[in-house]
Amino acid sequence: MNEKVKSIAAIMLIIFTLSGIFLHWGVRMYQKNRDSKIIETAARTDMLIDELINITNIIYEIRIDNILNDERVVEAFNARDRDRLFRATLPWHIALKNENPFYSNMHFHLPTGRSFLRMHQPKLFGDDLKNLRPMITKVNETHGPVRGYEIGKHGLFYRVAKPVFFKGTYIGAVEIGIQAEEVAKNIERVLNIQVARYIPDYLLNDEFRQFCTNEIQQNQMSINPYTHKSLFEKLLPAYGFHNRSPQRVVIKEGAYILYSSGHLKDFNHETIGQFLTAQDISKEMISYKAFVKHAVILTLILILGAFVVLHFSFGAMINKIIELNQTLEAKVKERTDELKSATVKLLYTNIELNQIFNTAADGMRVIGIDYTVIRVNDTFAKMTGKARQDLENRPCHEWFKGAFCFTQGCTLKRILNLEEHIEVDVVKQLDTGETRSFLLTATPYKSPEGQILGVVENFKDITERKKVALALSKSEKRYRFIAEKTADLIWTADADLNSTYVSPSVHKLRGYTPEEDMAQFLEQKYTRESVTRIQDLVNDLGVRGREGIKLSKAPSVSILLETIHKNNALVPIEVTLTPIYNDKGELVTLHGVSRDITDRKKAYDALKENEDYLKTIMATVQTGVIVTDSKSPLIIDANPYAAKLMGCPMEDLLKGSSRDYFNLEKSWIQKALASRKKIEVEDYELRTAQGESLKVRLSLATANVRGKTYLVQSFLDISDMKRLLEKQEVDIHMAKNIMTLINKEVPRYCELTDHRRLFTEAICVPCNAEGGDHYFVQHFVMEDARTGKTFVSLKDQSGHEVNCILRSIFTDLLHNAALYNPQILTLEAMVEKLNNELCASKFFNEDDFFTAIHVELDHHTLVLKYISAGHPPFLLIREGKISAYPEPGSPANNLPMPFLSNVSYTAGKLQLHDGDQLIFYTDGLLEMTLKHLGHVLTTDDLSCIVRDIIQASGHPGHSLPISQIVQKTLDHISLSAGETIVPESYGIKSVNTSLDDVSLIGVEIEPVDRSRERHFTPKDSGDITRFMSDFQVEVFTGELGKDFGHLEKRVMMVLEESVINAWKHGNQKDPEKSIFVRYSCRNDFVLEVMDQGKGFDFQDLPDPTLAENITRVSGRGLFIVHHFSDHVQWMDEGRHIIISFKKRKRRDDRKNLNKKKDQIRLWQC
Amino acid sequence: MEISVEKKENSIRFTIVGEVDEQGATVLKERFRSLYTASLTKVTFDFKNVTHIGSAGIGKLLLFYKDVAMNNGTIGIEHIAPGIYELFLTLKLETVFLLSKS
Repeated sequence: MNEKVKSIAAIMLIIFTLSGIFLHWGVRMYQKNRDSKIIETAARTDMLIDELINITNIIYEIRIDNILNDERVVEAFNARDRDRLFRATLPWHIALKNENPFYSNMHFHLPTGRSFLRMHQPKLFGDDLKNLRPMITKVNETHGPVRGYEIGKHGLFYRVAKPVFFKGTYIGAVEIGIQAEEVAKNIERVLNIQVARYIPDYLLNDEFRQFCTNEIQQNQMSINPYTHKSLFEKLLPAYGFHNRSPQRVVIKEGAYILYSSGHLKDFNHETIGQFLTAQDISKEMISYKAFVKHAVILTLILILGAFVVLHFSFGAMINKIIELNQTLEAKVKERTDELKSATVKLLYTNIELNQIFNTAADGMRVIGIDYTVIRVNDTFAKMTGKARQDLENRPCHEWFKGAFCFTQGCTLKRILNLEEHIEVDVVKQLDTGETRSFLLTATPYKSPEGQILGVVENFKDITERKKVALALSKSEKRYRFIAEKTADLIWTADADLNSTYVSPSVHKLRGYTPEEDMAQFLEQKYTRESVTRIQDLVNDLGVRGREGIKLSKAPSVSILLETIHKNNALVPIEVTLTPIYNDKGELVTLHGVSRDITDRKKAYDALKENEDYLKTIMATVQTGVIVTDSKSPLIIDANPYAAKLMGCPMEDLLKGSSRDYFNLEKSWIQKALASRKKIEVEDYELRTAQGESLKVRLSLATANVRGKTYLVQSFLDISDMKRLLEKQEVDIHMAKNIMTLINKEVPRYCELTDHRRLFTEAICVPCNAEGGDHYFVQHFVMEDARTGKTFVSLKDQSGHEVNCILRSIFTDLLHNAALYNPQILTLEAMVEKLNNELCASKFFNEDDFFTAIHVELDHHTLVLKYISAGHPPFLLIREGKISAYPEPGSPANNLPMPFLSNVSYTAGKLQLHDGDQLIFYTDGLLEMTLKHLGHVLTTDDLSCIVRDIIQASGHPGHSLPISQIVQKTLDHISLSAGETIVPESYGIKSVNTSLDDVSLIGVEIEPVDRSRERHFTPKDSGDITRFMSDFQVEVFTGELGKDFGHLEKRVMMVLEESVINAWKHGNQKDPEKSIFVRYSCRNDFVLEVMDQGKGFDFQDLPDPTLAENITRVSGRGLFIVHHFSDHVQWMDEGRHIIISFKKRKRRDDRKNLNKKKDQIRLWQC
Repeated sequence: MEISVEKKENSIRFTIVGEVDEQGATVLKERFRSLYTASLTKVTFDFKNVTHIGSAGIGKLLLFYKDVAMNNGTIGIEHIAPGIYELFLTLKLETVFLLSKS
């Protein structure tokens, strides 16, 4: 194939590809357009069906209304006169038949569910349809109209049924039925499509199956194709009912789009069937195919035209280009051959040079003037331990850096300064860390023109030579030193150990002169054992010499002997012998050095003794000890208990690393090394060999042995101790929970008589996990509200430990049991009984007691009875005046409890009034100032503080709510005492930095403000929306908005749910019944909603957050009310809800909104 | 309360403005009823401008959810204000709807 053909073929290929893309795009656009039309038809079908159903509904409701407006019909039906009814209704029946061919039946039903008259079958009546016709049953139950599709004996019908009244009395129902086919036929008429109806099999009854013979069964669906049976029989096998999107089916007769449309809903709005629509798209398919055919032909014509143009117009130009190209290629080939020849020559030269360069014994490298290594030889690469490619083309100082780098001594710099030959000793540190010495010879690297291109460096390794020279120098120095300074005995002897020389120091060692020593036999010099040992050694040295076995490393041998002093004392010595042999290997002379090692032996014995002692301690001590090098974590030594703690054998431990068991922080090691002091770390976590963690107390110390520093790590197992402490902690929390269970949470409000309510605010802040202060407020609301009572008990138990809590639990259990005792006791009798029971129990030691204030308030008379059992007096705030009770000397001051058994307790009495406020507290409040201010507050001090707070609030008298008074009092005293006291709030733990628990209970009698009551009678939800809007404006845009504005969202949400609940479930949407809404805002914002319904069981509300209730469409209203308020109380058997919101802000995160569930109703059981 | 609806093939997007109180819930229910739900596989509610929703409104969303879920469809609620988002979480509605905060 020539170039011309190739070029044309390439251009044609591009044109062909582009044409294909455009063709594909065109076809896709056509398809998309067609599909959108089909989807549009489907949507129109759906809309049309809904419209047709609506129209049918309206028409037949009107028709029934017309029939029922005919008095003759209603009267005949009321008289149960079937013939008269038939005659009166017949004209209507005939008119309907004529009007609509799909009109099926008209049917009158009795309230009992029995058929009264079928206009289409007048002779069939009296049959019980209660169970067969739920639609009619519903009309009979609700007396209201119903409509929807229903599966009958003869197919699917759209039915409209309405109640019939005679003079306001319900007398039965009348219904009209129309065949579902009506809608199908109307759609077919309007949209030119074919429609079938389908119903799931499981909805069909036996009569339907028996009488409806036009049905096709497919995919558990019963399909009525109406007049298109043969068409749908062919289409249905290809249609998937599971996929409701349009599906294309092609059969012999043509192509169709099938889709489901319309929801045929029964009277409960449940879908029981749908229409299956077949849209003939054969024409569109033919049109589509024609479009594709035309597009392909047009494209082919375009391609052919392009080919002709290319062949005749571009042929000459392409020939010219090909000719030029051939000339150019010939020239390139010529130059390439020349270059190849030159390259081969250069390659040979280079190989030769490389061989020389690489076989050189010295390391060589060539460096360019830019300090880049151009080339290195193999020896150099070996010296550096790097591959050649890692060294070449890299900066010269990157590897093999030396002392001259970056200085004027750099060989390249010197060569560039025109030095011709440089020789210098250099020391280089290799990558392995080893230091080696080299003789570096450097010469210029020049171009053939003489220009300096760099430097050639030759490195000769002279490390060994240097080492030898250094060792020689050191050896000479050492020997000279020994000769001059040694105090050791130096002697020489012949091969038979006869002395030939003895140095003067023999006198110091043995007490003899050198001459005397030389004259002695061996047995006089040494003990018998020593003589044998030295003789054996000399014999051995003689044998070695004869057999040519030289001492491999040291030319000398050492031996420990005992020499005999002149005073007969045995002196331990170390003798170092150097044998001198003649040329034949015969031992001729012995040079000996004898050293007194008495001190060393003593030290060794002492050390051994210490070591034994230490080993015994280490073996028996119940603390793990391991020793490591200060610079390495490898374990050098460990005691058996360490191995036991780590859970592995001692052998394994000694092979391991301390990091296998714990990671010491570097700072601890540095601190221990620097300070030389022991470092202790509490609560350190150690990992055993089994991977378990163990709590230890770790000590870290250093030890210096023979100039080396070791790290001694000891660890004491404290896991048992921890477990005990944790157990204790658990017990405290459990005790706290039990306490809450017994005493319940304090309700914010309690209804009193005569439009009053009692408000209670309790603050209890323990200084430990749980304290000795405990309290309860129990409201007893009776059927007869006038007999109701409230009991308040605040106790201060000595101590803070678990036992103290247990005693508190026991006390309050007894106290509550006495309160709930059916036998009603007076306050005095109850306290006496409690005291006697406690004294009789064995839970209280002599020094275990508590102070308490016990109070009883009559809900009707407002008489307050109180007993103080050694407790600080409580405060009464009335019209701005503050009094303390009981007064000093009052009989209401009694002994603490349990102090003495059978002691009488006397109560005081107070008549309370509307607006009175009380503050009860424990001594922790008064003693808070002791720690930092050095004194305790008196009751008078406290009264003054409270008075100042009331006056500073700008509200003279008692108008500052008690909840704010107790909070401000606590804040004032804790601030002046320099303590932090924060009560537990919405899941945030309490803080108390003082020395004792602090408790305050504030009580106030609030009159109910009835002026803030609204009522309305809603007719529909619009009335509720309007009421809500008015309420919001009234409450939150005025003065109240300043104090309670932050509650607006929560209050409005809760109000909406409460009002809707009252309207829907309470009043059953009865337009005659009213809803009452009342609000007040003193201590809390209180909202009350009352309805006029039958009430309900408010204690049995389902939880909408349970899995089985989550998708339920109702049942969330009261959950939202509980969730977004602080307290909910029901009254009047569920017709009256009282909801309170605390005034202070709370954090609106989800966690804190999860309030405690109500406690177990222990005392109501 | 106002609702605008954008439908695209098998998905639908509701943009709601205002408070979904009892009255709003009724409007919502009527709007849902007028829709052909069988083909819907993705339903999205834009709550960017919803300042409040009560239990009635939530009930209607769940009613709609039942229809859509029958066809394996999903309902997502987007741009939910923090207070309403907390309410939905409290009622554990994240197990039913795909929720995303504003």
